[in-house]
Amino acid sequence: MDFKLSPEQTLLRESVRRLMDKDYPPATRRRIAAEGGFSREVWRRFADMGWLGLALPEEYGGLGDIRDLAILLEELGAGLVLEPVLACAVVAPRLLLASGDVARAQALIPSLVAGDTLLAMAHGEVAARGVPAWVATRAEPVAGGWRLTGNKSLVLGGAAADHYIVSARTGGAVDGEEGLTLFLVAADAPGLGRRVVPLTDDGWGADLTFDGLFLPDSALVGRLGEGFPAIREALAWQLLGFCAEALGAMERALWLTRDYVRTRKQFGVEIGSFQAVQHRMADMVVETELSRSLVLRALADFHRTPEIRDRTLSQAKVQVGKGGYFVGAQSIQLHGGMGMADECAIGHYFKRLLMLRNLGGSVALHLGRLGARGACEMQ
Amino acid sequence: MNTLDEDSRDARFRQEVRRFIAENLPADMARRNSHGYHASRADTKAWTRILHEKKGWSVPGWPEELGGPGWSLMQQFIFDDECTRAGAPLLDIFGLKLVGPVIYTFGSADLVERFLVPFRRGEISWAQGFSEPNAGSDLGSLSTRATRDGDHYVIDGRKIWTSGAHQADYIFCLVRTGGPGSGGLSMILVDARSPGITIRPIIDISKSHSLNEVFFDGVRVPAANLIGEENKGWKYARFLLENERAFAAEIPLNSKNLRTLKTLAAETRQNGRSLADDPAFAARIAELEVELAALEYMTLRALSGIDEGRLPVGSILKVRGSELCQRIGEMLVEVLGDYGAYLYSEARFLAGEPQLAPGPDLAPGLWAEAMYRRASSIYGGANEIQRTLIAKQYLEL
Repeated sequence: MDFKLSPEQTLLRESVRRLMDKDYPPATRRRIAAEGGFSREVWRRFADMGWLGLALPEEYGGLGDIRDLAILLEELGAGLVLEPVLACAVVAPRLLLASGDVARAQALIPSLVAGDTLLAMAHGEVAARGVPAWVATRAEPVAGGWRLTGNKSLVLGGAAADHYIVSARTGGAVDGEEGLTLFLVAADAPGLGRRVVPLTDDGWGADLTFDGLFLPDSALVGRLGEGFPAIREALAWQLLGFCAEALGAMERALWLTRDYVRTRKQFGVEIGSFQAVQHRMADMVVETELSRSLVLRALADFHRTPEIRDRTLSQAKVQVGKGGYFVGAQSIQLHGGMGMADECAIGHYFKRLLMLRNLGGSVALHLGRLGARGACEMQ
Repeated sequence: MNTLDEDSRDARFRQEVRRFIAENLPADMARRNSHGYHASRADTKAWTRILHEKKGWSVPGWPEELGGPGWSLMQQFIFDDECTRAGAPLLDIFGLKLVGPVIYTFGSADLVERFLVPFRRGEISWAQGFSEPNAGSDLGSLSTRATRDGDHYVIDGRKIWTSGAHQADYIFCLVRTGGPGSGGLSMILVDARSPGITIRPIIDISKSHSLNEVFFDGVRVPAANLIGEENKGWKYARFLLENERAFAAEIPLNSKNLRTLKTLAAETRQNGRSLADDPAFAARIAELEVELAALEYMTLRALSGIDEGRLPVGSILKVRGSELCQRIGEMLVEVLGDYGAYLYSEARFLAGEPQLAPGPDLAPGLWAEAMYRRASSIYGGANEIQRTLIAKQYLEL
């Protein structure tokens, strides 16, 4: 692992920061949040910058490697960007690619990269609670196609998406890795129960209900009953993305709080001169840097075996989940009453970090997974 | 560190080190040092001699012209890991990583010849004389004085918490040669057997003797033993501490203790099954592993030598590495169950005599290790000092 950023990577970081500063101030974010959490104009800017293709291979217009992607997501996390870059420009196209459905990938991905179309993964269900293969939604074969019955919750990017790739069970047990199939569903498909829902971080998602929705055979993505490896691949990209976003958010919260304690005065002095405050802030630095270390490690391990990748990703998620929440919560504490005000930025970081702590599986879930995978095995 | 993606050259190196240790580390030495008790200086010297004579590996990290093996930092890390894993005695850190680099960076050719050459051959060992009864975290206020008298300095005062002073040949001391504050300090090398030195053992809470109080009463030290310039001691001391920063999380030690914990858990039965198969317990182990993985990678970041700006990597590693060390220690005692309350004797263990209390082979030393590591958040700059450093230097508070 080369820890040093290349000149191109430094440039990328700066260009994202510049755009955030210029085009995404808190007032803009507030307006976008009120208007459904998505700005077509912002999305086109992202496309023009080449960011919507960063997660993709070169033949699909991708321009970077995974480290570049992490830099982008970190900075978007730092800017609390509402537009669903991770969901629609990373997870969904990666799912499509991993499904092996080359024809559909070639047909669809260019318009995703160009920012003309948005695609989202609709996989999670309320009862799944982070278990990757848990899918109760069923697809029954009927003449000329399929009938879809079930529910998909917290579809990130789901409010803005034009299409969904929906996972459904065509066989196997409810948590079985066998018998999962992917389908492409248009957001405006007649009969699709689509509720656009506001989220606690001011973003918007979707909650989908399928009540015997008919899908033609052509809606099938990849191979019948063999969707899980692609889902697993997409979830790995998603977990990495959550970690990178959280790292960016916690780092920004740390420095916003640093700036605040250097200006806020009580008892006639800056509160940052108090040792109780200094030591708490030192612990925030420690959590942030430990998180950075595991995000870097997850990047380094991402293209190794699936076992190693999953293990490091879970480790990163545990650290980022705990550390991010700690930094967010302490940031509020050190802002005092101001930290409770909606108009102050820090609370928005806290809310985002709380959400990221649980997205993709809670700390407890990942610790359980690591334990079950043999934390106690001899190395 | 074997979970990391070492390149094939590193992997080959690891194999070479492992093979060498297997063939050359005496079994009785490995037994004495694979438990939580302190390595004896005799073992350390003997192991240093073996490394020196057979491989020229006794001073990793030193420049090649002084006998260093010319390893990369990654290779040094692997070497430490393999040695700890196999139960080799810890090398003399005081000489190898602390005073050694100060001597070859700031000291005279004469000091290099007299002290570093024999050290490399495993002939002398070191202790560090910094802390005093009234100067712990506030090191700059220390009061042990060295007064120039012709070709000598005469030292009067008192040092405390001096690890291994009772077995050491030399003590590198921070002494006051000038006015108050850190600008009046010098670093000098003192023969531990000089007339006027009295060493009083301090038995620590693990019932072990590694710490000492050292009294200096008119101790005459050749002026040639002063490192560099008079009153520049603070600079050398800071250099010395800075040098150690990438190793501050004590990854080899933490890895070893975590491995022991896992072995013990796998062998321990609770409610009719192995403790390692208890999901709640496994999750706690996983949590410690997450922490270790993060610190390990952060150590690599530090070793890679990239410029992280003012980021105080050493302080971060120190704070969390020491806390991890203590948490693993607590878990070790917990997993021992009733055996965790039995007091095993270090003297009996070292003599190979049976213990009064029964218990698994691994048991002796684990409680002692847990007790001793309460000091890990105190020595090398207390964690409160480290947190203050992070806040002041990095956050500029």
